[in-house]
Amino acid sequence: MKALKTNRAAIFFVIWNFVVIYFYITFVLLKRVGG
Amino acid sequence: MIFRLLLSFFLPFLLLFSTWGWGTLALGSLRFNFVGKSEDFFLKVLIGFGVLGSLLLVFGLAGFFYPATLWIFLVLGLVFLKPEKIKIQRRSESLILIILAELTLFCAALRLNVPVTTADELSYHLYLPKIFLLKHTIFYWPYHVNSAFPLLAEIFYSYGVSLASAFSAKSVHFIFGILTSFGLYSLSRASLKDLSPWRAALLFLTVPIVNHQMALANNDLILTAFLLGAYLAIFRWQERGEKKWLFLAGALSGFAMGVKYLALFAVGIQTLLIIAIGFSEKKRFQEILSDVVVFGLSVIAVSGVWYVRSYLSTGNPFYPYLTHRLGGTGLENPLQLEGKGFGKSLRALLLLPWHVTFSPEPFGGAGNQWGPIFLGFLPGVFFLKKDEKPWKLVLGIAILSFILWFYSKQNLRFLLPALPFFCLIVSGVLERFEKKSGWVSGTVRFLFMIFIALHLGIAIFRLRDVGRVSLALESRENYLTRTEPTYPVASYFNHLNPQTAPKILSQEHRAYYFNAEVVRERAYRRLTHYDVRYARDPGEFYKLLLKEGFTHLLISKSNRVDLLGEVAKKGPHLIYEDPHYFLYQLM
Repeated sequence: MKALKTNRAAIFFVIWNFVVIYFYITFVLLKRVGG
Repeated sequence: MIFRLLLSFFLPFLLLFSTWGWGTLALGSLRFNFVGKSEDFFLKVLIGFGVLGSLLLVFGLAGFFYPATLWIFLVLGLVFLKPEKIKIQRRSESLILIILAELTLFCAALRLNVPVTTADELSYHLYLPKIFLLKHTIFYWPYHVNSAFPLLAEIFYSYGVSLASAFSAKSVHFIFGILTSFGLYSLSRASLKDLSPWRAALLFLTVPIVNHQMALANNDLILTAFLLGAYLAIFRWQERGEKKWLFLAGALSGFAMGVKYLALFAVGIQTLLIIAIGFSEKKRFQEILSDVVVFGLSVIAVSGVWYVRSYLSTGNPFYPYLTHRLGGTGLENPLQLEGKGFGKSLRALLLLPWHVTFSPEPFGGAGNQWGPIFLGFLPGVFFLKKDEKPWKLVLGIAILSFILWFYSKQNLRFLLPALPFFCLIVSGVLERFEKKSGWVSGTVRFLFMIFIALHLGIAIFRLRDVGRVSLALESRENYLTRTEPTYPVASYFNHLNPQTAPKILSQEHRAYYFNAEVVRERAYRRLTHYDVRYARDPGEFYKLLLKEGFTHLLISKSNRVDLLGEVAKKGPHLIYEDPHYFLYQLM
């Protein structure tokens, strides 16, 4: 059960980081390069 | 000429060795048991910088602020040097990470060769050393609000300014970035043993704000290095229980207080840290009090002179801050501690990590952004081992710094002293996930590399406008003419060769490129109320300007003051005009 919980946390952590990278590239980097 | 160029290039190395010598002399008799040669080097160089700066301050206040004074003390430091080989443990750090970090650092190094164009550098970080060297004294100048500040960093920049080399001045700030990274390596290596010691140090060097600041002659990285040294000394004091570490921490924080008022926040956190450590070790009240007193007295002993100087000059030790509470002469607009960011509500606090990542502009501009890695990795803090004491301290320092910053001026540059701790937390989170088997370990390491690659991308992007001039593919004159409005008028002015010492009444604060005493018109107006006293008699005002030794008048076209326009009709000769300025000669 504990292992499952930890893996869920790891999955959340990884997805969260990809979301942050996607948002950062879209809303900060591309916005600046574009404008 | 060639000698000056060589000296400009080697100045950062000479300063490093000299301050290492001064540090060795200052700490030699105290027999500190440093953890490894890297910590030995880091703390000795920091103390050495502090000692060198303080000696120059004493001579500067006494009226002996000459280039010769600077160089005599630099050479003296080299005499005391006992160099030792420093071993740096590479262990199994990823080669890709090292290459990415080195490339990012290389981008910052390239920008060192770009002429200075930012407002803070031009108006005081580099101009004050210039005027101090011109007048041979470190003095309070009522027309220049920044001259009341603690100016240890500006004393270091005097070396570069004495060589007329902004490259040298900026490289001093650059080496403080490297030093902080070195300190972070020492801290994570000795205090947080499960950590790959290079991870946090390399991350720190690549963070966009650090990369940006390393190529500017500001004072934030100098502040950060001194404060990190002080935190490191407090950690050692906790491990060893020897009071001398507290003296060392106090001295380093004192030097930080000599760099920037902002250090006061960190000194408050460090005092809380000392009290918290005392309670956790179940010390008696008197013992805790004596620890705090030892630390506090060391801070005051080292930094007091700056605050006494400011108090004697303006009536307020923190001038121009807190003027409503502590008073001050009110020569210029008092500076506010708040006013940036997205406000101070609970909602703003909760959304702050999101805002600083995706809308960095209101927090001191995109140049000072921290990048996305902290928003990505910090939630992983819940997976850290909470029972380990150093981690508790690191988290405590980071959280307290963040909250204090939130309630003050929300400029990300002012949170820089806490950045090393945020880097430690990120690398701690990374390590925790790396210990997991299978896809988690590999994916999280991959994510970390993506973030570092993004940092490198930002560093390369920053070279887009300055790459050519940094590689000498564009001349410095050409670059400055198209980017810095004061450069054309200043170069014209510098070729005039006036008979008397030039003194300009100027509506432009960016004074570094003028070889002259540049009096800020706004401060002069507040001090003399000339706009009211001579409102109906511009001729009399013109006579006053001549009597006070002004030789030139620089009027900004975007900031017209009617009376100055009237004065301009009363006799001075218009000798220069461009789209930004009128330059008049008073005669």
